Amino acid sequence: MEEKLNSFFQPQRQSKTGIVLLFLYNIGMVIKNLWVFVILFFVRKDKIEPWIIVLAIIAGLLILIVSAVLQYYHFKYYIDEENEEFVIHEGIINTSVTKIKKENIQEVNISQPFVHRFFNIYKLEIDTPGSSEKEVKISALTKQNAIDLKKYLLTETRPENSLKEGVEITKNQEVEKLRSIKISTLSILKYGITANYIQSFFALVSLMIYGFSELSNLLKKAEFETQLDYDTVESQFLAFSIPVILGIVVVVIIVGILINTIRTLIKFFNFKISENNQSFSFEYGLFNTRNSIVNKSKVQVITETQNWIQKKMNISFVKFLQIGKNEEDEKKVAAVPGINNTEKAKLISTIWNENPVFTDYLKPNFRLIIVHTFQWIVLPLLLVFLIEKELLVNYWLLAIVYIVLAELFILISFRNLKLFFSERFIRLKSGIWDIDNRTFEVEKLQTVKISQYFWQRKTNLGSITFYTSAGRFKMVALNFTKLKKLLNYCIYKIEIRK
Amino acid sequence: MEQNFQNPQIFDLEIPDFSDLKLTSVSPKYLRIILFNLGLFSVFLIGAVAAAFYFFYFNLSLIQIWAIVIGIFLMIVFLFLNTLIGFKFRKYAVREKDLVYQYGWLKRSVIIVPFNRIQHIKVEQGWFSKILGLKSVSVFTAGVNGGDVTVNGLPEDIAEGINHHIRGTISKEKTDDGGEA
Repeated sequence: MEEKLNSFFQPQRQSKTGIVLLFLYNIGMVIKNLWVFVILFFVRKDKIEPWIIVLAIIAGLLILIVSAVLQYYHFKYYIDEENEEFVIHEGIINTSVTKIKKENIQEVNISQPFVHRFFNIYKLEIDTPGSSEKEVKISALTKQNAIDLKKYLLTETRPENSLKEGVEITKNQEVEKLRSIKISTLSILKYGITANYIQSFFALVSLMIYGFSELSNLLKKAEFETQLDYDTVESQFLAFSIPVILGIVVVVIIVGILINTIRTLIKFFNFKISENNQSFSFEYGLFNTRNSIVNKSKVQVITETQNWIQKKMNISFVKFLQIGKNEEDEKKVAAVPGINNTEKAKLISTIWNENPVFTDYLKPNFRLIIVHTFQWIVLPLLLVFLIEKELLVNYWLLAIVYIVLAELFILISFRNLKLFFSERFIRLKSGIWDIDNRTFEVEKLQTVKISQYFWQRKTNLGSITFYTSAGRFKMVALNFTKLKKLLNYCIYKIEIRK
Repeated sequence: MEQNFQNPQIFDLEIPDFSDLKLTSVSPKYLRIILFNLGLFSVFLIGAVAAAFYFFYFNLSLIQIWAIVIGIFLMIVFLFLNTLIGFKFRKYAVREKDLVYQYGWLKRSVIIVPFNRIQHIKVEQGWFSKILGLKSVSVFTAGVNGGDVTVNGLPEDIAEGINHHIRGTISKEKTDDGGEA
């Protein structure tokens, strides 16, 4: 391996095929920005001499080729050994130099988008934690180069550990070099069928509503307008169509699940997890192969999501939140779909050396139900009543359905709210259908806050907020005396950590 | 389940308890700054509403006008009361290894920032604070959504003292364990 390792200490260029790629990319950009003109050109049939067009296209292509070549020659990357920095020079007219401290590199992603496949080259993206908006990427590398560079950038990122663990690493290198887990297509299929019901359902419903309104507009305009007034059409439509509507709903749900399943399959196809000493790497995708790395020591929060059906099927969705990542930036969070319980336990225990087990938990006070009922049912209905009395009177059935459903959701979500704790871990459980379990280590917390409204003093309730470097997590209406103890304990754990 | 909570391994440990602490109030002089800011805000609010009335003639009945005037008046009174009462609850304490800050009247919060989690500290002084000889200390952690604390209205020497103390602790730790974030 050593002699294959390129000397990244000298300024390097991308793979030669990168020129073609840059060229294609430039064409794409031009088309993307100028498509209006293209359409305009086709629409107006004024006489423009064909040779002018051909000349313009040739000139354009020439400019693009030259700029691609120039871009290629101006793009250089290397590793500054002295300062432990990764440096990228780029740009023709506006040149820019990007420097990243090696210790700040958190994740290096190698992927192969569709076009890259034809040239057998890879894209490499470097991710640094925190607020760095600038995305650093090298878009054309040979596989060997990409892998070597990634390896180089990710090793020795923690100099303080290399001394201690150096011995262990060499010892263990042969033994547990690559343990790998593969998520079977069946598991991903199962996950696809059972996940994101609600999202796909709503997406389709809104599509249907849009379609219907368009259709009825069309019908109105076409013929019914003159003969029938709108009310009778509507009432007839509603009368004959209750079974039809039910049928449509069923179809919508099935189509939603189907689309979602296919999307999930394409995205996560052939999911492979391989374990190294300090990290995991995930590789997946049918058309676009993606590869992401999770550094074990940088995992802050592990979120396990599972709904009732998935529980029965023994699959779940696990997210690994690393430093500086929020749960919201979906694209950047490393996640494993459709993993079964034993594999999940294995994965988690390799990160934390144990699988968190909880015997104790805190539950919110029942008063939270009252507050939520007020917030989600009483208040909205009161507002509707004050603004438009007629609405509530006319659609009282709908209002009752809403009350029942909302109360049901409130009760279920209340039942699921729990704060688990053990000596080393804290877990927050929440959710209505998809149940999230967010687990983090006490000693990796940043700060902890507890709050109490003055009217909660009598009932001895309050809320607690855990600030981690991967987002904050809050739980309300818990026993305040115990929260104080928990706060003391968390701070104590953080401070005795060396 | 309630009884289960008394897990002796965790909760009967001899852990320092923050409620034993004697928290220090911030300098009473700082109240002047808050009141001054609030006064400015009130003047601005009244001015804005008056200007809106002057430039756009609303067709409002006398009752509606009174409702708006009383509403604004109540809001300003509430803000002043909130400040005056809430000021008593702004307290802090510096322990050997962390900073404790308590604030809020309607909602009383306590946040504790351990020194070994602090990324950087900032000491600030505005023009009014300079006259009164006050400074504010902000500590920033690596928390993604918040987790930072600002203690306003500290006497200059105390602010610098806290700053010095925290800096000292952090740099000592850095050399101890090689700069763990």
